Amino acid sequence: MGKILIISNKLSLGGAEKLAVELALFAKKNDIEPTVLILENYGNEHYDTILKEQDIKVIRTRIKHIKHFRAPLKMAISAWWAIKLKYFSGVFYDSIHVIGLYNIDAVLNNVIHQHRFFWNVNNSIQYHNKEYPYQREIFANKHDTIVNINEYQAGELYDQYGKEAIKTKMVQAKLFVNAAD
Amino acid sequence: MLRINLVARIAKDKNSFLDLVYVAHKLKQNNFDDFAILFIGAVESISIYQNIVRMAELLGVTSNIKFTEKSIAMTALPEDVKDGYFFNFTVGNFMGYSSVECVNLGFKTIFCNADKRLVNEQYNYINVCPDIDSVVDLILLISKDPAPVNMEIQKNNLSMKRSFLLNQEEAGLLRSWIVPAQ
Repeated sequence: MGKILIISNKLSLGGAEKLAVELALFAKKNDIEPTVLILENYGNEHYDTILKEQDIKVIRTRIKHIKHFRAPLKMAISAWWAIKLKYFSGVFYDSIHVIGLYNIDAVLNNVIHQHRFFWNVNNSIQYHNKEYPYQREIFANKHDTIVNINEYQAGELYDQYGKEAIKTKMVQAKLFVNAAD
Repeated sequence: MLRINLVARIAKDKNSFLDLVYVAHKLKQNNFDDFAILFIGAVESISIYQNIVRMAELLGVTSNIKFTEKSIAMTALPEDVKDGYFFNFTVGNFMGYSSVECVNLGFKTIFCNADKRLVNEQYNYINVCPDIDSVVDLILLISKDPAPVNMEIQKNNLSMKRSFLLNQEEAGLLRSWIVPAQ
């Protein structure tokens, strides 16, 4: 059975969060075990319950700036995940999916895997001066894949960063919902 | 009363809220006042929230605009709200999950393109508007005789709904990203 890790920063009501959930449900339906990792956020949010009902594991921890000195168990869990994802993620997961380019900063040098998919869930119109606020470093690894969710995003990224700077693969998926069983 | 709902967190990455305040202003200018605009979503950016409130005051539409100030699952909305029109921004022909959910739940949905660079990219449906002025026109049309527009919207919903499901090829592609060949 395959295994994937879906990384995001929250599971409250929202489009990116819904994508994380649909992706997890899709994996499960296809006999692939999903784990959802929520970084830097220990709340209990809207989609936690829905994922729990579907028996999908949700982990909430941090893998960067670990600082739970007054909560040793939390600190130990963070340390375990930090090591696991930096050195052994390929052993545990077939692929890593990061929802939202705004989450890559936490992942780029901390989750090492040969199949990393970065889902771009925004368009440039959503930002000041119609410019994505991301560092060009996130496009530097030719083994990574940017997954755009509409036909405009690739052009926006190439226009802003230049074709030379974008070494990642670029693919397009569509937003989807899993059909009810 | 004609209800117009916008489901979105009031946050900095969603910068088109003032367009709806403008819609309210234009509706009033056209002597239509029997409407309520409801912003459904948590306030994540106080400054954006305050801008909406200030703009509403300035344009004299405060009494037409309300906020839930918290996120509410669409399925949990009160029936009178569900019976309203759900306004969604698109980027060209791209619809986000809020739109997908409105359509899937069978809500009467109005789409408006938020990116002026993509004004001619949209579906040719009565409820898919290229710009904010077309939204005003559509609401005025609904205010006069809602039944034919509602019928058209329901028909469009059905055809859009099918497009959110993955076909075999799309599902296969997604599987190949999830478990890539070694």
